[in-house]
Amino acid sequence: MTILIVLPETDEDIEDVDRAIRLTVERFNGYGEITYSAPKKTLIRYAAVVRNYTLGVYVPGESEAGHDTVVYITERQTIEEIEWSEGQRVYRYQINRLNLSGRGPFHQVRPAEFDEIEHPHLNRHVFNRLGPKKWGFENFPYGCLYMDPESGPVDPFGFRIQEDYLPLASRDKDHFLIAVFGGSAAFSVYCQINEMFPARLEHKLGLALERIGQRVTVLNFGMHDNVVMQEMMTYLLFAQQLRPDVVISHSGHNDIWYGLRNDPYLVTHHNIIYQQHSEYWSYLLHQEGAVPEEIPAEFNLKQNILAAMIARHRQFQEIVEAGGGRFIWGVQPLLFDRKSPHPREIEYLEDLTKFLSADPRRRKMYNRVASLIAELPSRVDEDGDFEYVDFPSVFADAGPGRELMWDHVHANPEGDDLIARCYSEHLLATWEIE
Amino acid sequence: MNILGLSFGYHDSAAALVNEEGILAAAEEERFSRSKHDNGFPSRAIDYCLSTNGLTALEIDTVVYYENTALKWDRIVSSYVEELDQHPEYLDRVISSWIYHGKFDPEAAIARYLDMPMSRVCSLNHHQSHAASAYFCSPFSGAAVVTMDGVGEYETATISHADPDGITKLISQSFPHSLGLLYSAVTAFLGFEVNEGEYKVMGMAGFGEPNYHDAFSSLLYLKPDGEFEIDPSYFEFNCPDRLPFNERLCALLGKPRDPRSRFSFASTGKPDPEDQRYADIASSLQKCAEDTILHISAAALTKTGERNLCFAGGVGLNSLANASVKNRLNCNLYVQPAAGDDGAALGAALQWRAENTSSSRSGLKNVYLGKEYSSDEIELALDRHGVPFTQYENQTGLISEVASLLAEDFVVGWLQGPFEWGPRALGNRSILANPANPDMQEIVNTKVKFREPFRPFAPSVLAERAHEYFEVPEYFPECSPEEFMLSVVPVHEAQRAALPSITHVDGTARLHLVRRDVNNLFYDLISAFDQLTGVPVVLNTSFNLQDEAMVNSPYDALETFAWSGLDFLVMGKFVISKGDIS
Ligand SMILES: [Fe+2]
Repeated sequence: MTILIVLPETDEDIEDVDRAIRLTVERFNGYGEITYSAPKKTLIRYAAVVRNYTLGVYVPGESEAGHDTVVYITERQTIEEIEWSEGQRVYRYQINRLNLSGRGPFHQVRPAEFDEIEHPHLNRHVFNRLGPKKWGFENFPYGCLYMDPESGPVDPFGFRIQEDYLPLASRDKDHFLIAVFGGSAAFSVYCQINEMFPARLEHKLGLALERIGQRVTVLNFGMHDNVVMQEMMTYLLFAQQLRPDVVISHSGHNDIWYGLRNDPYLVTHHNIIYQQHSEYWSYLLHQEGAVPEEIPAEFNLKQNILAAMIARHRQFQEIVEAGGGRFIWGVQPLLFDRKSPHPREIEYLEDLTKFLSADPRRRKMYNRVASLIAELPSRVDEDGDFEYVDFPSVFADAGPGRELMWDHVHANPEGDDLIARCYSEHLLATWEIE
Repeated sequence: MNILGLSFGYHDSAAALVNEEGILAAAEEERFSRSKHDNGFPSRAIDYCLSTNGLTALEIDTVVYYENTALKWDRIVSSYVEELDQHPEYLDRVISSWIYHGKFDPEAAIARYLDMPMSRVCSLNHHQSHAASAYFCSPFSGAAVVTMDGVGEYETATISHADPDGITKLISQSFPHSLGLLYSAVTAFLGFEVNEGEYKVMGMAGFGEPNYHDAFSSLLYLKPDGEFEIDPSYFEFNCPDRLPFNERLCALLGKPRDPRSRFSFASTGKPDPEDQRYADIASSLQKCAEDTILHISAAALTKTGERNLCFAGGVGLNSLANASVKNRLNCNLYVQPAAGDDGAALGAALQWRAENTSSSRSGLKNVYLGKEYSSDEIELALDRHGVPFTQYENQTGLISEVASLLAEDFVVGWLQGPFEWGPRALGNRSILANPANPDMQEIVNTKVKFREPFRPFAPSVLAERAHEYFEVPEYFPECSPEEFMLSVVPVHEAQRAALPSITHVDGTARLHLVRRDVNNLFYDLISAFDQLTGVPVVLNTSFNLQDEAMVNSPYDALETFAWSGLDFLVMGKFVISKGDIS
């Protein structure tokens, strides 16, 4: 089997291209022989980067011939005018960050739908059998599940969990279990599975605990787009039976984002914040005509969103504590929190500002989210009931020398490592372990 | 006969509805879209004008668009041709943008939206619409009319003579000789956004001295007869691309100000040395603008033999210049409160009415032409968002409560009656505070308005008490610019300490005179505040957050209240406390 990696003719940051090459190689390592091709004028530039591999001049439509798998590292959003041969697998690695908007960089192009090579659990249960065989959300009894095998291995429900965790219910006393919940920042959509903060946390804590003969497992139940209501449902269905010692809700953004635009009656009078697309199901099933505009004319009031979020987090905390666990609210950081961002973060912010300037309502929504997340830690603190970690402050104070955020809401591997370090220090301090 | 006037496509889209009896409704589209200076098709403003009068499009006799598109296009193409070499791709971009935004045929867009035949849609010239918006709303039967803005089709300024028979144009100044474009270009040089930052330049001017007067006199020469000439070689007026000025202007005035830098000033109220130069440039620009406006106005009065002067066009919003025209030329001045292109929608309708019916003027004594909300609608918004409130039975109870809140230094959002026409909050969509508290300017600026701390706030004062605090006569004729917050006056030296939060660094204030016959609720509120504090003045700034249009509906007010540092919100007879919702 052979894999061709097509390198970009690009002005994109070399750093992004280097990472793309490294991740592509990691992903296909062991599948077969890897060769590269690149546009003629970039050959010299890439010769040093991929020096242990064959590197040829890229001729569109010809270079691909004979390879089982082709991966395009590109800033473009589509690959045009190439006729791939029958059975060829094709991927695109997207290096323009602004165009990703919450999706990981690897995208399967061919076959057009996922198969069991891409996602071994694709037909494991009725909801993924009936669901769309492509990136996105599938219906499930308590809401939506996120299907993203492109970002690396996921379990039958879309969680980035590789092990059979059921036996952990009867783990030894010296074996700690931490369950992480949250949205895409916990799923860690831009990090590889070994780079995401739950994995880094397991590694860091493991080293410290090993010295005193203890061990730890960290399970990541984070799922793209989840709000705290779904975190609770996930906990009840999958995690409660394991009696985790610690539950982390690494959250904030999604409850604010949806809290702004959800139905005011539900948010204000019943503390219910939900994924907006649950509402669209009702339009599709029972109404005629188009679903409403993505950004509505009215936003909910700040105080009502805060009240709903805090009430639901408190409920989650009560459930966890009733099971003998400890609940930690990690208030997630945003790029807007960074006091002195890294030059590449500034670059992203500038692109985002340009993008938002064309859409005043969306810009307003981003501004509201930014101001509320900055205020959230002090509100959580005022509430007095929560054990929490204030990541907006941690990220605000990390200097301009560190690039931590990949986009406005998702951390990069360095950012996730910092998050893991904070959780690890927090836990070790409370466990009184050096 | 119902006549709808419309302006859209460039800045400040608006709709205005008039009939033979008077002005029925007028509103800017930005109040509905909440997008500042919205220049899109004013569908919601149109819908409001019709629905508030119970009309459908079928009952509109004529729709008048405020300018001549073909002539405007002609100017754009001919100025492009002059710079074909430097900007070969400019026209392509403009054409794409015009096609994309449907600018080539606004009349067709109007007919389509209102589902009416093209025969009922017509258009006038841009400055004709401005002139009509000034004269037909003024209290004068005979007047000189001056219009000044960036540019319309070709015209940038006009002088006309108006009497009950109509408006006769005497002098017309053409592109590129434009005071509006000059002011905007230097606004951009000073790091502010064009069509938005001009107010900031006026605020900044107060910190400087006109030391760049000589430099400005090489940019603009005054000619006899009220005309003037601008040296276009310093500017990019023909093909405005990124910035409206060029290297030559930088050679003349020095390095442009970085838009991201803060205009700092020490606690003494003076800018840091590096900002002094920018303040001096702002001051020199303001002086140059005032000299030019005085020059045109003097010529207008002389040519027409009138003592009454009417202003419209964006330059009419220069409240410092308005004050010097009044004082130096000793004339009666009326400024259309919506002096920008929004006002041209009303002007277009009034001009068509004058030409086609027996109606002429409809003096605009107040600006409350926008949408109004009932108590039920307010209560519905409060319930929808679960906001607790106190409802007052009568006006007296409400006023005494709000006056006490202001006296206790709380900052209050105030939504009453119909919203205002034009860019100024005149007591129906206002943020109010105690002007006697020396910290209030900073409190309102940083906690509520989130805007540059050097921009002054305006005082609203009981009309008959104004002379006690400000250097103004005891008696003001009706519809003076001071009633519309369109003039700047000195605060009596002895009273500056009493009104620290509305006195600008140069000892002036942008006055709003409040008459009981114009806005009795607001008048009574200020009276009640006076009874508690001995000061018949409140600090009044528009009810919005930075970069947002002023609030329109109870929801808008509630949202702005929730996301700002406002302490109380008063809507109709409902009072909401921040403490109750946090
Ligand atoms: Fe104009």
